Amino acid sequence: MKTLSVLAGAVMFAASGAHSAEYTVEIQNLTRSTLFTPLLVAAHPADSHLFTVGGEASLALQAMAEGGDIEPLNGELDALGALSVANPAGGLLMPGEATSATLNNDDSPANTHLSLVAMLLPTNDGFVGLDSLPLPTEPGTYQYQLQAYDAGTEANDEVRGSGMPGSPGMPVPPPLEPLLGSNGTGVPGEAEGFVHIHRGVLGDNDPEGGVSDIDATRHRWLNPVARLTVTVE
Amino acid sequence: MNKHYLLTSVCALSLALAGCGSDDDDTLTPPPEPESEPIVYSVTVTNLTRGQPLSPMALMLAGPEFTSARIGEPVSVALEVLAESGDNSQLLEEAGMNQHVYASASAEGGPLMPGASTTLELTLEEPDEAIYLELVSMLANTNDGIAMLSAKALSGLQLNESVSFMAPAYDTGTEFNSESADTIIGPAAAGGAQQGFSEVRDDIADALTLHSGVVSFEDGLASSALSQAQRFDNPVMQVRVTRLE
Repeated sequence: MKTLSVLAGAVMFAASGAHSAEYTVEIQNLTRSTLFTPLLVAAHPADSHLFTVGGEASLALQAMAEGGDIEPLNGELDALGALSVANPAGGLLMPGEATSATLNNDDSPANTHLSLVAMLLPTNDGFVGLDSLPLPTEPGTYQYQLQAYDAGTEANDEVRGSGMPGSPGMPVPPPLEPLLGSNGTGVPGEAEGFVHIHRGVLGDNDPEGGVSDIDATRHRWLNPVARLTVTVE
Repeated sequence: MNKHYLLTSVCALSLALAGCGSDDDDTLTPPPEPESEPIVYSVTVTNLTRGQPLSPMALMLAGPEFTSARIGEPVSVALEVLAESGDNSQLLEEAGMNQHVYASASAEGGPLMPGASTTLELTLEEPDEAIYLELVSMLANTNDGIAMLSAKALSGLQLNESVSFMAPAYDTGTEFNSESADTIIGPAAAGGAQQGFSEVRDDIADALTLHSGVVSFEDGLASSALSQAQRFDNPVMQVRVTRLE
């Protein structure tokens, strides 16, 4: 419990009492072919959350999960007095790439918990997430594995479309453009209504049609989708 | 759920009495046992899946000698019954008779639906040995898939501290993964025979493994009763344990 590095299964003991330090937070995209939209990384008070598994997504979370827009969530963090770093990678975080952010809560010791989110592409409303991890207090390097969630706000039809909250389909930024199919009829289904572990994309093997515009051979993933390394100075 | 607690107390008492009988100083009442504070854990389980109801949890707190199942080995009949039918009664009955199980309980209120949470409380007297959490539930829209946590150490948990665990899905290896409506008990198989437990072990290997997921008819298994909505990835269950006393 002292300086253990926390591996798969993410065992975390909640340390009570505020503690301030400088934290370097590195996020690596572990997937083969799934892009992360700009990340939002935050240290915040223990009782605040960017999302809650099993609960309904907020409108701000929906904007991030459906279109990669982190400004609404970042505004909520500002209002809480949280520390945040928006878009540390300066754009998309490609498969295998890593990016890092620095958070220092010396002047705001109530910001004891770490959360992060970024949309996964190609998905309708999938995101990589970390919900309120108690920041370690002992100097050292700690690793965690992060999962892919489904915000539950949009049907996973897996066809080209919009990144606007409430509009169907998936946004398609330039790096993804040549990799997706087109004219998919859409995977049947509806918005699930609650945040949960993403079941993965279905895809198909027909770039000119079929049910999905996602390439089943290229774009599936299994958890974990990201590795988080927290270094405490 | 207090059965093991009571059994433990009775054993301790009878040992004390036996010790008393061979004593010379004619004391009829045994000396009072040292007061040990009971430990109370609150265990909150959340179903992380999109389309897999979880059958009522079987929760056990056990010592280091207890093993519920081993990867690569056949599972017990009691675990097979749970994995194929969702019925945890046989597993908990056996736990009740196992000297290494300090306390056990079943979640109430039927299956735990996707996204839902349930909380159980367990009380036990502080044992001499370490305390480990064992928790198992069936993924109802599978043939013999379970969500399981095993041998998770709780002894280090101090008062009001919490610990979180993520549970993966396992395949008990007791039933072939046909995904047909005749062999799956969950709501996705409505209209089929929905057979629960069968003593036949016809999976590709009679051994516990991590689950490879379901295929579904939308991914090309024509005979499957499952749609893509019942597909899942790990973890399938989040478990948060808080020590209340």
